[in-house]
Amino acid sequence: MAICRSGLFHLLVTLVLSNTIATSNANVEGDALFALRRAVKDPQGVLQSWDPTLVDPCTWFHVTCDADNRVTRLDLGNGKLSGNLVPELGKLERLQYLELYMNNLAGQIPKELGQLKSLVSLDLYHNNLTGPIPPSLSRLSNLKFLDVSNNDLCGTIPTAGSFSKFSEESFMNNPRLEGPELMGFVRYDVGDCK
Amino acid sequence: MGDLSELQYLSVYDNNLNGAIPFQLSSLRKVRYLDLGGNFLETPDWSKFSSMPSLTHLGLYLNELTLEFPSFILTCRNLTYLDLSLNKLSGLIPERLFTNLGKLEYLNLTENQFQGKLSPNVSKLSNLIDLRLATNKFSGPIPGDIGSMSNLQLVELFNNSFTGQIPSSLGQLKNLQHLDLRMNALNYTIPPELGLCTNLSYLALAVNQLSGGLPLSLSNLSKLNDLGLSDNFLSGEISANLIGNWTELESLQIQNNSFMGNIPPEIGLLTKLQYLFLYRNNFSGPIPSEIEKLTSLENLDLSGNQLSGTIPPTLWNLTNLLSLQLFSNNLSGTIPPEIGSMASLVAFDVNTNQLHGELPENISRLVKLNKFSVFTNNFSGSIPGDFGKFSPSLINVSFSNNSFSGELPHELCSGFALEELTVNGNNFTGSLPACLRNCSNLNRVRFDGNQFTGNITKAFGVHPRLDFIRLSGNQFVGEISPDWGECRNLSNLQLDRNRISGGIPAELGNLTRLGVLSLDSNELTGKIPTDLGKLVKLFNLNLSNNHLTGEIPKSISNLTELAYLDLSNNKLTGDVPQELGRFDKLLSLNLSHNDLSGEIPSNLGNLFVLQYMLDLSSNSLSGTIPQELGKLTSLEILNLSRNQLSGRIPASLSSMISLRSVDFSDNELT
Repeated sequence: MAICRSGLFHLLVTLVLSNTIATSNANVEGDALFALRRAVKDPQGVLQSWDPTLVDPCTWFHVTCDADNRVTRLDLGNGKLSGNLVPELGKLERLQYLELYMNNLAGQIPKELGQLKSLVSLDLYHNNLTGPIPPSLSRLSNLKFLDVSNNDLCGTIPTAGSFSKFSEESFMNNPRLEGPELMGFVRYDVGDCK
Repeated sequence: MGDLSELQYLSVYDNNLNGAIPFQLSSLRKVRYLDLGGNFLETPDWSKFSSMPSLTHLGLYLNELTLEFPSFILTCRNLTYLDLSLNKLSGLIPERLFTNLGKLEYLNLTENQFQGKLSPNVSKLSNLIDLRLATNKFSGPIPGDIGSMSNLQLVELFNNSFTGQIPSSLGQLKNLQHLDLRMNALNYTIPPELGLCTNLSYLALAVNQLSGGLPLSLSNLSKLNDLGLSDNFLSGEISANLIGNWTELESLQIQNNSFMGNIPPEIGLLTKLQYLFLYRNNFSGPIPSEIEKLTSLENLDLSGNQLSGTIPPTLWNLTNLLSLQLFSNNLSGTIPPEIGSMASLVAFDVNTNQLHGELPENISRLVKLNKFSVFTNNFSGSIPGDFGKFSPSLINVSFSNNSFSGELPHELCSGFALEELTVNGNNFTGSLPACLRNCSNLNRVRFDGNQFTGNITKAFGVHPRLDFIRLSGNQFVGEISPDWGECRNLSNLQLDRNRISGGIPAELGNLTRLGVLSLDSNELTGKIPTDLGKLVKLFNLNLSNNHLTGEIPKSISNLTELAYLDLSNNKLTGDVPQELGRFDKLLSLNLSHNDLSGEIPSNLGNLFVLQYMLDLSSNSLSGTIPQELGKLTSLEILNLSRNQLSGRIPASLSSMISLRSVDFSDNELT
């Protein structure tokens, strides 16, 4: 007896076109992090626990929250992640530690990271990031630790604000990075940096 | 077979015939009707097939045909019915199909691997009534020439890679009843001309990239039963004028778009509606009370919008509802006792709103309930004591993040079907329902952040599917049962901040999927079992604030994924294992407040990503501070105070450029 699939296709498709029940809630920080999950490839399942239907992301592995269930740390170093960072990361207003080092992340550093007003540590070293270092990062007054070394960043290095305290070790091994931006002079033509 | 020269009708469908279709069949010159569907037939050499001029009906569906479109079919010029669906045919559709088979009324190529563009010559099939090309790999635009095929009643192009606009010429198809263009890459706007297809009863455009608003002309489609526009980029408001004539509508699905404005009260005119899905849009304003007129409504999902106001009291009159999803809105007010009249209710989810008050007793009457979720609201009071007693199908229950108090209903899990039970973040007291032990489908459990007392030793049993459990921050007493070691799917086990006593069972070492183990801040005694070294996926181990004794087992060095290790505030003795230096993912190490002795291993300097903390304070460590610690360039907090360290502070520590806090006090340093 051939498998009785034949009946299904000779019926008109039934009333319900796509009755998938809605699966996410309005948790802004969870949605932001889930946008990251969708933008990366995760062969080791580091983000496997990142379930957007949960009440908040605070039980997700490698996410740390404070007492108000706001994300304070993201520890994804050495996770074999590839793909891109996402602008939604800028919504994590209480994020203090953004640790994405030693992955295969590509694309640009989103300028929205300049909205992370609580950020203390930004570690993006050892990835394949390209494009400029967003000048918006220099507005992060709490930023104490920055390491974007070992990428393929280009353009100039911001020198204003919090960037005044970072040494060249934070930027090394970016072959196309041109050096500190010159304040008060005519800007370099950074047309090549995309 | 080929000798049955007078045969006119041959039907062998739904058998187990296999092998290549014999070419001798094509010498049946008088055969008009041939149905070989539903077998396991394979592709023959079609060139051996002669033309079959009498053939009008050919069914080869649901077989194992592969390779190109069978060329011999192109010579069967009298074909009116052709069904090749559910095979593995590939390649392009030959143009001669359109030029030769002009008598075709029914063409079904669904679920094959045909590719390429749909030729504009499709319009040469001027007698076609049914065009079914779904689930193939067609690409390119839908040719506008389709608009001239005036006999078309059904067009199915779903699940392909068609691009470009929906042709406005479809508006010429006066006989069109069923149009399914779902799951393609169509963009631009919905053409207003579709409003001219007044015989349309089924219109499916979901899962495309359509944008813009809904043309008002669609209001003329008064015969619509089924309208599916979900998962696009559609925007604008849903006006009263648009929907007022859709009185035959049984299913309206516009979820996952950017529609805005109010839900028009005229929705109440759609009295035949069974499915109303408006979820994940930007609808605002109240849920109209006219919704009570939708007496056939079975599935209502308005979640993920900005709806405000109270849930209209009339909504509870919808006694045929199976599924009510209102979560993630700004709804206020209470849940009244009238919820009890929704006798068929299977799923109820109002999470993430501003609802308040107590849950009515009548929720215990919902005997068909699978899912009941009210998390993140301002509910208070006790859960009605009989909840669950008469609802044996309860699978998913969440009370989290409210101000509930009192005990959990004793027969909450009377059906033993629970998979998810989350009640964290309330003021629940008392003990856990006895039925939990026998809920063998439990997957996710959260009791954290309440005031549960009660003994956990036997509160749980063996739960093979349990993935996540958190009991943290209560006053649970009792012991950690070895049965936890049988919950082989566990990835997260958190019992911290309770009054649990006894030892850590070695059986926990069987939990090879465990990522997080938090037993801290309890009254645990005894040694750290060597078997914990088998937890190779563990990245967070916290046993701090207990009364653990003995040495740190060497097997701990197998936990190469460890990022956070906290054994502080115990009575551990022996050395700091030098194997700890192998943890190249360790971010934080706290062994403070123990009775550890011996030297600080120099290879702690190899913990090159150590960042948040290295705390060895309040022990009996001796010897010098290894200069290798200078390699910890990411470390922020270093505390070696209250030991017996001697010698000098190494100069190399000046390379620890991330250090924010250093404490070497209370040692014997020179």
